[in-house]
This record gives sequence, structure tokens and C-alpha cells, in this order.
Amino acid sequence: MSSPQCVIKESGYSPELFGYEEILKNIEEAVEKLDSSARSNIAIIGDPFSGRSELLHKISELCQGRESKIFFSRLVGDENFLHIIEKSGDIVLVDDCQLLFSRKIGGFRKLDLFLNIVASSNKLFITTWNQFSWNYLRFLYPLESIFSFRIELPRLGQMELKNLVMSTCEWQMTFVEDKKIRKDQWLVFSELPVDLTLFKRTLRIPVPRLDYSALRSRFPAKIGSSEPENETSVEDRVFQRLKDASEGNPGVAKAIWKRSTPKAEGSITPEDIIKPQYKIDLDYDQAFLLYNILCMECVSVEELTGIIGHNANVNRFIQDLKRTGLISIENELLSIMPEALHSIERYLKSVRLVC
Amino acid sequence: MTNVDVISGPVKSINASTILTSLGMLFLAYAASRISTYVLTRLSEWKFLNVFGLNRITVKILIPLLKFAFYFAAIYFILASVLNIASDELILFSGLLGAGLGFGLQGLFADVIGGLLIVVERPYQIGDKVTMGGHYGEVTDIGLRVTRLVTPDDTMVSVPNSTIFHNPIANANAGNLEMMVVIDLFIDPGCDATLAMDILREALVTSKYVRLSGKHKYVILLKAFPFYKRIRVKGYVNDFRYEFPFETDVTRRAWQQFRRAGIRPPRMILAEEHTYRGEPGI
Repeated sequence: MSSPQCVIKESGYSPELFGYEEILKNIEEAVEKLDSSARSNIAIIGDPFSGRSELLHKISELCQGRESKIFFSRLVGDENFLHIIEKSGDIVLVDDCQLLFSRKIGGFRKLDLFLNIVASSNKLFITTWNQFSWNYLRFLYPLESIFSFRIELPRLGQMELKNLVMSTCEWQMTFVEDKKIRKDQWLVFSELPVDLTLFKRTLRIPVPRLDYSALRSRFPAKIGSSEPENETSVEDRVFQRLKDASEGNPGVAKAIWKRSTPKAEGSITPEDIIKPQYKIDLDYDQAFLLYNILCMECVSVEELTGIIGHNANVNRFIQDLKRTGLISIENELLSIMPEALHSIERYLKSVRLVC
Repeated sequence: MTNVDVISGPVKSINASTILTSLGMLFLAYAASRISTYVLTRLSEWKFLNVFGLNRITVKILIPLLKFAFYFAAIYFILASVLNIASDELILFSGLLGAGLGFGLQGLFADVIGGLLIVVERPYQIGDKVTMGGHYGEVTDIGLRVTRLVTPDDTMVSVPNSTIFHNPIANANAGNLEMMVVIDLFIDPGCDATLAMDILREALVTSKYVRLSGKHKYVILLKAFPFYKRIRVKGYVNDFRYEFPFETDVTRRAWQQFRRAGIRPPRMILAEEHTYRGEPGI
């Protein structure tokens, strides 16, 4: 039985890449070494929504004329993918290698075959991997010797995120100051919900939080300089907040930007950029299910049932996760919500499912 | 006229006030140790603790330390400030203490000293899984006199602290949350042991409770016995509280797959089959 196929993810990262120019240059050099004995297979490792697939698209453009074969995630689930690799050119690009395995007994067969081919072939393999899956698999397989050239996608900076979101912005955006909040206000208050189970009520406690960009503007730009840092513009503060909220992940930044910018209005204030807060409280089985969705990025209910093993529970767990806004279901495939990525990661670290 | 409330002698003055103050100090030490234990226990269960590089055991280390600190501070305060004991009186006090030990307090004294050594040397900490005094369980409290364990069948066992002087202590996790678990499966000697090892390996590494890292590796061992083969897997559980669910999860899924692959458990060896005439069964 073939595994469910997965569509190429809509991470929303534009074809124009921002911030990964240096990586592309390194890969170009590696491709140039293909004919030499110094060939080394490449693993591009990144978080969900970090733009791995888009980077691979860009790499395929670099390989034009080298009889490359682009091999995307929709094919990884295909049982015949090994034959396709064998017939392909001397450069093989494989996206979403985390879909080659499933965390269950007998779930590593395709990955075993694939890694054997990669280790023994003369072709150059350029592959992309989910960070969490890679961190799990590297203790089971000698991935670091098979893929001797590894690239971990970095977090994007403020300017790169700005270029990214503005390149896809369909309307003229104006950046305005929120009149209610002073721009030099470095201490802001947000509300923390606290459940009072005894009284069956939720109390909202104001919690002070530092606005780093406002605080930074109060100190000298350089040590020894008596001049305070040049006052940051509203636009810069918007993108600083976007960087802080998305933690430099392009897909997450785009999702937060989309939520923060209503289409009808063409203006945005720094305070409009809000990182959604998720209150995650799951039992261990639910957390393990969420971990698998995080690792695979795009997975069917059938596949998850094979991993968890209890059909009724899986459906209930999925509905619970959907209700809390942590995952989305599209075409019967489950994936995590980009805005929830970092909350999920922190939660799974707290229950020790993520190292 | 002699004042009945005042006992005069080597100790400057023991009256109702000093006794009450001393009792008050001991009560304060007790209250402070209970409050600190409660706060630290609650803090140790905070789910985002490991985001700060801590785990519940690193927080619980402080519990016995604080407890001993409070009690010794209270005793010091009573001796130094309330009873105002001078050096020659301290010698007399030591003599009295020695006599007390001779009359049957030596067990209590050994337990307190044992408790102090546990705090200083840390052969185990609150939260560790240990075998001591013939009992296996999770350490829930290290007191002045006894260490309390909760066994897997939820029985609380109080083991005197002096046990550390004359009995070995086996600590399964030594302050870490990860703990090695050894799982044995026995198969029929005629079955494919290599396939069984592969299945058991996958059952282990795909378990939701497993911990895999550079430090936490797994091993699979095979040993042949006359009537069965033993496959032993050693792997780490990510939190020792899941020790038994981990063992169950791996065993259950491995046997499910064994059955599909035609791997059988060892056949029952009936006593009659191997009974020689006039000799007992094997």
C-alpha cells in the first residue's frame, strides 16, 4: 500500500529568496565540484515553514543544463520513487525527506533503501529535511557521514523579513504610530489568563513586558558614545516586532503579517503585530501525535493512526488539536498552524519530546 | 527564696520563656521547611522548567538542603542566643549528649548524621529511582531521620538514613530524568533471531517514551539458552516516571510484530518430557 501523497506545502515563501543568498552560493560551489572526487551530498535542514522547498526550487534553477532531476515531496510517498532516482540525471533534488519514514515498526523501509542509494551512488543528492525529524534520525542512521555537507537554515533578520513580506504585499502599506501608546513606552502590559479551577473562572492578570525596541532606543548606539541611538522609525519598529514574534521564521512571519494586516485598511501600527498565544495542555499521547505532525509537517490521519495505534483516540486527539488552533486540516492532510510553531516547539520541549 | 521557674546551674537560665522561645524556633524551622518543600515541589513540576535548562530533580535537590539548614539554624540559635551556652557549658552539654547517645539515642543520631551525609554527598536526591534497604522506588522525601520512597505499587516505604552506612544504594538515574530500562523478550530457539532483533530495535526507537541522543544510546543483545533465546534491549526512557509504560509499549508492539512475522515464544517445557526415571524434572 502506498503512503498517502503529500502536496507541496504552501508556506507562502515567495520565489524570491531573501537571506539565503550565501547558502545558494555555497551550494553552487558544491555543484561545481560534482565532477571532482570531492563530491559531497547536501542536506538542507530547517524548521517547518523555513522555506526549504523554495530554496530547492532556486537550486534547481542553478542546476539547469546539468540534467538535473527535481524530485519533490509529492513523489516521496510514491513506491516507485527509487526507480525514478535511478533513471534521473547526475543531480538529484529530493524535498521533504522526513516523509520517507514513519515512526512505527516497519516504517523505515523506504528510508533505508534511499540512504543506501545515496551512500553508494555517484550522483549528487541535494535533500531537504525537517529539523525535528533530522534530530531524531541522526541517532539512528549515520546521516552526517552520508550528507557530509549540511546546511541549517538560519533565522532571518529584520531587513530580510521586511523585504520578504513587502515583496508579497499587494497594496500600499503605510506605517502609523498608535496614538494610544507612546512610542518611547518601554514597559507594556499584557494579560495572562490564569485558570481558577476551584471557582471555574479565568482570571486575567496584567503582566509587565519589556518592549526591547523602545528600550534599545534609550541607550547609546555604541559603547562610549554619549549620543542615544537614532530614533527608530515606525516602520522599523513594525518589522522588529515581526522579527521578535516570528523568531526569524519566514513562514511564521508571513502568517503573522497576514493576521495583522486587514486588507481593507492600508495602514499598520507596531502594536498590530501580535504573536498569538496558545494555551497548550495535552496528555502525553496527544503531545506525541502533535510531535509527529511537527516532524512530518504534512501527514494523513491514516498515517498517524498507524503511528499512534488507536483509531478512535486519533480522531478525538485531532479534533482537540484543531479546536485549540494548533493544527489545520486540508485535503485530509494535517499540518501545524505557522503561528503556533514556536508555542508547539516550546511545549514539546517541556514534555521532553523535543530535545 | 528560690525561684521555681529558674533552673540555675551550668546553663545560665532555663525558664518558661527560654523553653517557649526554643519551641517557637523549632516550630518556625518546621514551618519554613514545610513551606519551602511545598513551593519547591510545585516549582519542580512547572512544565516550562526545562526551557531554562533545569529539570524537576535539579530543583528538588534544594529541598533537603533547605530543610537541614532551617533545623540547624534553629538549633544553633537556641544554643547560642536563647540558652546562651558558653564554651565550658558546651562541653557539659556534649557530655549529656554523649550519655543520651549511650542510653539509646545512637540510632537517632546515626540517622541524622546519615541525613547530613545524604545532603552533602548526594548518593541520591529527591526524585531519583533507587534501591535501598531492599526496596525499589522513587525518593519522595529526605528527612532528618528517614528517606521516603514510593514503590511502583504505590506503597510508601520509610528507610532510616543510617542505611547508607551499612547497605549499598543503587541509584537508577543519578539525578537525571532519563533512565536506562532493560527489556528482555524470550523467543523460541527455532525462530529467526536476527529478524526478532530488528523488530525489537524498531519497537524501541519508535516508542513515544524513548530518549535518543549522543549520550543516550541503545544496545540490543542476543543470548542463546538451552530452550529459548533471549533478546535484551537496553534503552533510555525520556522520563523515569514512564519506566513501566515504556517497557509495556516496547514489549506489546514488539510481540504484535513478532506474531505477524511468525516469531513464537518458547514452547512450554513440560516436566514429564525431561524427567529421567527416578530423577526430578528439570
